Amino acid sequence: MRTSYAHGTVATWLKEHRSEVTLVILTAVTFAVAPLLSEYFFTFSNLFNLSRQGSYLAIVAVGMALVLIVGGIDLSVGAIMQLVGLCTVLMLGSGVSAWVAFVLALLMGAVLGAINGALAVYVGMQPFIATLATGGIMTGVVTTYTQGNAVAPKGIDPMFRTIGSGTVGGLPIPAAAMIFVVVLFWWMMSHTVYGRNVYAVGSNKAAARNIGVKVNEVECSVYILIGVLAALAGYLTFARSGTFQPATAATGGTPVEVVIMAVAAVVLGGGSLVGGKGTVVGAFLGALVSAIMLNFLVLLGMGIWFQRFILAIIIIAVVVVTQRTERA
Amino acid sequence: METNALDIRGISKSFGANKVLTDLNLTLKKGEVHALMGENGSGKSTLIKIISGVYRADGGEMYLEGKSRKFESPFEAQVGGIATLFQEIQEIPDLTVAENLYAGIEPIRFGMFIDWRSLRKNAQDQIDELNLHINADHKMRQLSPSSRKMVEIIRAVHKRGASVVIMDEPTANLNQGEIDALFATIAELKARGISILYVSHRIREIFQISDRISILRDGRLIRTDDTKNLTEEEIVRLMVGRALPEFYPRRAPPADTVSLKVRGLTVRGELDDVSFDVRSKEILGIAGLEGSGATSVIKALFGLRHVTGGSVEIEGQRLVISSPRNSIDQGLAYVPEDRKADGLFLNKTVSFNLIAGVLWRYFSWGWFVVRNRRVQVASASVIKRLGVKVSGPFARIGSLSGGNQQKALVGRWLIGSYKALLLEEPTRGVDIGAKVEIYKEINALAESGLPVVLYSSELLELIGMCDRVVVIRGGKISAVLSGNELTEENILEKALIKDDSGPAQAVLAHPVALPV
Repeated sequence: MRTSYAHGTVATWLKEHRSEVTLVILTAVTFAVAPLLSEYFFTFSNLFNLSRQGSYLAIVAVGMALVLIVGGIDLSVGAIMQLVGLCTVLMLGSGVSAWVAFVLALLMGAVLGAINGALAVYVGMQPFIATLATGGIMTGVVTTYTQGNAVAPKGIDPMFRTIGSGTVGGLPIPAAAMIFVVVLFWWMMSHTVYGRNVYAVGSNKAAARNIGVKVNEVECSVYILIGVLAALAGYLTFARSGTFQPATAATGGTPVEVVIMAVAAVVLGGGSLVGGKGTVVGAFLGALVSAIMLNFLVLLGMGIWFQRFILAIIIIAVVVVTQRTERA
Repeated sequence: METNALDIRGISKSFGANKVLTDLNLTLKKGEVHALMGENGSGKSTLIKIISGVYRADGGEMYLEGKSRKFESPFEAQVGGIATLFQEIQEIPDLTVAENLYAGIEPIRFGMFIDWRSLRKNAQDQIDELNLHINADHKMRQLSPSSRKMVEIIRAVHKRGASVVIMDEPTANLNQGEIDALFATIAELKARGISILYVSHRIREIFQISDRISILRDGRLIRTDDTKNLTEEEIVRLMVGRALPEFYPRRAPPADTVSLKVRGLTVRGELDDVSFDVRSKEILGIAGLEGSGATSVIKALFGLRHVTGGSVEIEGQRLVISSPRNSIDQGLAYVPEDRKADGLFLNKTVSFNLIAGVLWRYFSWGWFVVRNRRVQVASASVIKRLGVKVSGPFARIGSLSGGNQQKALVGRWLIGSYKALLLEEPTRGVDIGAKVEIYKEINALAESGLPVVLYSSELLELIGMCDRVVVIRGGKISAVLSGNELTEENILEKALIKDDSGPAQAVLAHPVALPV
């Protein structure tokens, strides 16, 4: 709401956006300190890699922000990424072009999201349970089919790998996709009726219903959106190598890790598991901070488990700090 | 002289500047059923909560069996011998009757194991002793409401040794057979010397069961007397009796055209065949005591209840009742009684709260993109018109005072055009100044031509604001009052006492001829 800043003071603006401000400061500090500890941090190839790796997480985190805002949760995002990625690779292997596969992948994400939404809203299951179950089914399908092996069909559309590893205007394509997603969803959440309705439902479901918001439709729609975004992230993840690989830290983490990182990113950005709070920009910054920290810790030669440990500490610290300032 | 079961001397209680109880005295003799009566807001529930340790009195003393007591918590009161049966069921539905009876006081064997066998046996013995047909092994949720009440009584009296039992509207969900069973149990308790403070709106029951009656009004004890010395009419007269304050603003008289026509509105178990007309520019009040179904009338019209019969017409158009969204699309505006639970987005700004519902219709391009500047202008003008005090554009509505919140809740419907206004408790928990502002807006909306339906538990508000008041009793219309008949006594009498003069006529004859 640009026009309203004129009436408020800088102090109230800062208070209202404390999560985002905290994360920006944290990012700036990291950028200032990192080169002192590792001369490799500011190299082009590292920042290039960083932006690509961070983009998968940020795309999913944006979707997770919407789901958390309506007071739900989606534990199946990582599994959707896996299943859609596998299906994309298989489609390409059977001669489908990369663009057709792209459209079908997003559609598939929408359908999987709609199933989650239907279970959570119309069947009335708790979203935690519903998406835990559907995620389990999807992961099961993937591992049963692949038996834990990579799937690398030959003669697939070369465009697929180009999307995964190419650049547009100097940016890795996944990072460009991420920027597109962040801007689109930021605009949608802050400047459209739909975005306001999502916040209304998350803030008070009964009140939203009483002023005529179609609560069920809104609730269901966020699961569809996160399904599409998870599909996009899955497509981009596997486009990099052109093959499907079982979930490991190298492919952005196991399905469970993806969920944890995405939820953490939203919470870092000011979101809350009880709904009504959180922003797209906050989720994006939260994902960015997580990615930068991980990258930085890798450069310092720390093992994967120690990285997780540090990241968890940072999450607790940031949430405590923002909650303190909220009360102040 | 025999000691009394409970002696309350000079109890006072205020919430902020609002004095709820003033220097109140009440005595419960041993083994008596003492009825407590008073209209909504008279201080009954506050008094019960003080006796049962939920609230602490600001001043005064309480003597239980002649000993001075001060309870700091509900638990202390229970252990001290006061059992309270609130309207809401207190037990754990998924545990058995026996487990509920012994919750927290389970018999222990070997220092750490629950002795299930004796727990079950003792529980069943206790139930059988009272000749109740309840199986101690059944889960609470399988029992009927009256059986649950009985279990609660057994737990209170036998397990915790209560000498005083407070019952708050104990017959609210019970049918006649269950009420008889409850009364038999009450007689049993009396015979054991246990005293009962019986709170109910059901005047017939009170004459049937009570030995003495105390009547509260505005937080003061008006009279305590033997039941046999009182009549139903006398009680009603004692319960009311305040002067109408001057602050209800004047309004133009209603038009002659009927705008909202309700016929045979029925919600199973709540409303039975309710019919009324509301004219353009008319404010029609809905009155009724708790459990009468009065609160369901507006909710049914707005699509928050499953309507099982009847029809509603607005300006000659038949209304399709399915959901709030549909009702709004057909021209209904609704203010819910519980603003925090059902009305406001507490962590959002005033502007968000005012505009959220009408955004797509009035403040968007293509029903999708929000036109921020227009939103700012429109919400600023409503905020100014209602005099809502806001500290800044980012101020959350939850941080404002109740009066300002309530103004915004009503003010929501100043944006856009509607065909009828449905209000529930539009000034609940609001100071006088804000009340007057809200009344003015309601009047302005009525004068613009809308029919208004107003449900309120404050009788003076109904009398001050409404042209006619429909009184609901047992899900049916028991009376329609207007003009000089519109008094607190009449409303209460019709709400409390069964009227044998047949169903009242709330439907207007043509041509309309009503005293205004």
